[in-house]
Amino acid sequence: MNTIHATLTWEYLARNRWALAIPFLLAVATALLVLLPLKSLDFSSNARELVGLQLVLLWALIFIVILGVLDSQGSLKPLYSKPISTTGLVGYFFWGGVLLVAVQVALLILLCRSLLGIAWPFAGPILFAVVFWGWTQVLFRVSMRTLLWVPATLVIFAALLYWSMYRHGVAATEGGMIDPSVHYWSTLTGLDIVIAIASLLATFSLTTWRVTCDRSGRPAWPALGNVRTHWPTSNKEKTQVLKTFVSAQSAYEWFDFRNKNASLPLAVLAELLLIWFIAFAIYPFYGNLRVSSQAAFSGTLFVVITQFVAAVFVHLSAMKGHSVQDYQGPGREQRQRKPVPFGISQFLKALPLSTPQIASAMLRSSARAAGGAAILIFASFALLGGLSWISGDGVGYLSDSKFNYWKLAFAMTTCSMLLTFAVLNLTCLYAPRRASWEHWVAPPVLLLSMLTLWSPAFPFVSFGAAIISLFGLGFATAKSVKRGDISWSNTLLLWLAGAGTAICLIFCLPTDSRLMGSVLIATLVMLALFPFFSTASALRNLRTN
Amino acid sequence: MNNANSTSPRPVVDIRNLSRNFDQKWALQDVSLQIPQGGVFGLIGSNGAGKTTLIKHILGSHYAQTGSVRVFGMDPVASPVEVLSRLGYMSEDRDIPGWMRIAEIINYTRAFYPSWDTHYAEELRELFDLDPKARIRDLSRGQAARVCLLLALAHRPELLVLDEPSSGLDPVVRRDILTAIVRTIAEEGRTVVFSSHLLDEVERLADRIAILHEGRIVLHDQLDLVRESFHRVTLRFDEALSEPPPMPGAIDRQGSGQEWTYLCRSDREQLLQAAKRLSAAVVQESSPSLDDIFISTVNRN
Amino acid sequence: MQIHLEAKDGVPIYLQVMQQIKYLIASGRLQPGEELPSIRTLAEQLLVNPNTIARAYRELELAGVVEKRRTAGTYVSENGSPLARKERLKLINERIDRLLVEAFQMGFDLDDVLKLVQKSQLAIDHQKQEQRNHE
Repeated sequence: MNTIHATLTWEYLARNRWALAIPFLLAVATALLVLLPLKSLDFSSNARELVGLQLVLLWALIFIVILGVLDSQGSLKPLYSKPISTTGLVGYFFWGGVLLVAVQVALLILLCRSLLGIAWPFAGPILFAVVFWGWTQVLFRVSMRTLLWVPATLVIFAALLYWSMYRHGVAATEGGMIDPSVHYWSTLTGLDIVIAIASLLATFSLTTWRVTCDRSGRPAWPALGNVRTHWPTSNKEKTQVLKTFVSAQSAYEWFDFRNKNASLPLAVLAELLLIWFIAFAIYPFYGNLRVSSQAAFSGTLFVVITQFVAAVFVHLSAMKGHSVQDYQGPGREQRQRKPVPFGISQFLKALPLSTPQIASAMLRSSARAAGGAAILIFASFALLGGLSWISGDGVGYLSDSKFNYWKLAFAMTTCSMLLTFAVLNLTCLYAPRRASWEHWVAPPVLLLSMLTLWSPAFPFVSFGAAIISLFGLGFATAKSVKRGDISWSNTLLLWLAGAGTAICLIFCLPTDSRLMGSVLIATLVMLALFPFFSTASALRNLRTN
Repeated sequence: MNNANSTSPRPVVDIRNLSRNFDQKWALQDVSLQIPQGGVFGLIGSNGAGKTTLIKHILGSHYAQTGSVRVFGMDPVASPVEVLSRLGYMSEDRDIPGWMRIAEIINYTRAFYPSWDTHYAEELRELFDLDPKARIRDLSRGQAARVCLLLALAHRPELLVLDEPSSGLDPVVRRDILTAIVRTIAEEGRTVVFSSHLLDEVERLADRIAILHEGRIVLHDQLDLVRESFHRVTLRFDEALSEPPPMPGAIDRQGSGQEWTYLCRSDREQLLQAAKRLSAAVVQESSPSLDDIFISTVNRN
Repeated sequence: MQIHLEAKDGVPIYLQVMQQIKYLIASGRLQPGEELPSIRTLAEQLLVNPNTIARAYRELELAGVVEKRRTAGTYVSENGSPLARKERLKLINERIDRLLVEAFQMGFDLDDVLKLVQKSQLAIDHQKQEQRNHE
């Protein structure tokens, strides 16, 4: 490794330690979340049923890891002026990424193996992960600056996912993911290795070619350039008439939605579209709707369960939000993106809006986001319900269960929505160093609840979480009413609405789990109410220091 | 020097004994300033002297650790809406959200100011030649500065606060900014506060100046009076001297042998009499520029 | 109105403006009774504080060079004020110095110059006479 690579490594580690570590930890948390309940229910003897779940989990973990590595690498543009060849530059990040992804996936599989005590293989998943990495690199760096990247991504991802499904034996069977012939990807065939090598080389060359064009300033897609200028502009006439904002608060709500929260329902939409795309893509192979609906069901469930992960991503990346500023250096014409927490730059701080009004605007925008995502998810469930009615089968795994499908769908969607809303407004992140204790109640309560949700072994933990959140919420309510951030009438309305939602949700549960469920639902509702009484005070610390 | 007497109208910005420290480092030390209505106030200082920190106090982004800050008679931290809606601000970094288009940010900012003049905003947009469909992240520095200036001016604020408005900009954009300042003060009752280290601009535009050095105010007066109270004299002595004799109010001494040039802050008559007493001939006499005054004052401190 | 400001040289801006206005009046580019640009216009043109221009106009008014009519603006004084006359004398003396230097260099002496001046004056008078005869 010559000195340039040493410098790059040092700089990368110095700058991006946390950007690399946090997604990895998030992946670990996700793995724990999904697997811990299985551990307590002792499914280890029926490992076959787990393969389908393993597959989906693996995809999720790989995706998180890859996003983490990508985010930490960032754009190559700042390095164009360094004395390194393009191949060397791309190669460093490409193959370095291969190494990082492989190591992280290996560690995650090791963790899962030790948790479940079953023999999950390393070979197949790691190979798949690095191939996936190669293609994600391409999609990331070969930016086409038009919306064509959306179908391109869908097609490439679908192909990759289908390949992994095939290698797990899923595609070849009628029973879908829980068919007994489904197996682990334990052995690597010659074809696997050929595909992997070819894919890596192809993606590496593509990336190198694109970066070469970029570095020398040549446009890579001249034909596409015409598409670029014509496609988006056909909508431009509409944007000429911009909607006038009714008030300053609604303007800020629009800004907060576009700046941060809109990415949540968009991500959920993209995920659901992908899931349904895959579900319909595999239909020709089986000829019946049941497999497709099973795939769509597990996919939608996955979205529901991991929506809060997406929300954490949205909130955390907003913390690293940026605005465009003048480059602080002599003679540079460009402006640079500099990190500013939540994108609340000096320009925004000088806008005449009081802190409670900003808080209210932010809450509305995140409600819009969480609500929009919930509507999409419920639409997916409804579509599944429709499909199962057409095909005459029950939906997914619950065809013969005692749960009422619609009650369950409603309960899951609403709980997920409440959780997402709570996570999008984690007030402890606005000004961490100056946040008082009640802002820090939410994260541990969240974690504790998740733990007990999946592992009924410790019921008193959930009671403890509920008590802590009740105290925190009460204190925050009193403090914000006293400060004048919220009126008595609104406080009453909110508490009543929370109570009403909790009661509705409890009645959706089956009678035998109502006690446990009520505690958890109460905690969830309290977590969702919390932002209403704490955002203003946290924002105050962010705006003025 | 400090003319906050009770008969004059309330100053637009009234800062008393303001101190501020960040992690044990004092950014401002016992700063007192009164900015009267209807004039241009120039805040001068080197980088890191505390200008931006002071301006952030005026905006309410910092609360006063000690002392008080009043804008339009109100505390900007306690009453942000009342203060900020009458104030137009252009930040040093021109940090506006990159994903918006120009038309969008104008539309967005308009919602916050009841006194927004849509025709005036449109006039400025055409004058500055800004394409409404352009994205802010694609703008050059000059264009971004013009956008920020438009947003600060369009609601016709009573107080215009500009933090280093010309730094890093080409002369064409600078001209736009200076013109905007001149036009603003030409309108009755409006006040402009701008910080700059480009002293020739301060000299042209300011009525009053304050020099900030390492968090302290070292000079605070009307610009005319400042210019009149500083003199540069070159004295020729009868014999060569290694150390020049002191002169009243001398801040800077340069020269060698028989000729020595002094930069003094004192009455002209006093200087001439002192020269006579030293039996030195006044060879040259001139008025130092604000640049020279600033450098000597700061060096002395 | 063509006024240019010198950046350095330490002369206060209001003084520069005053001097240049006086020069323009003295050289005839600003006629008596002609209106000066408004304070605001001139301030925008030169990019200086309007108060500076106001001060220059005020001092010129005090010196009698210009006069302020109540609502209409600032105008050059009708009667030749002593200062304006001084400027005019300075100008004409410069011209005369130049004329004499050139004449002597070309080999003419003072008598020649005086005779030539008288001859030119006669020619001008004759031309004016002819013009009047035609009308």
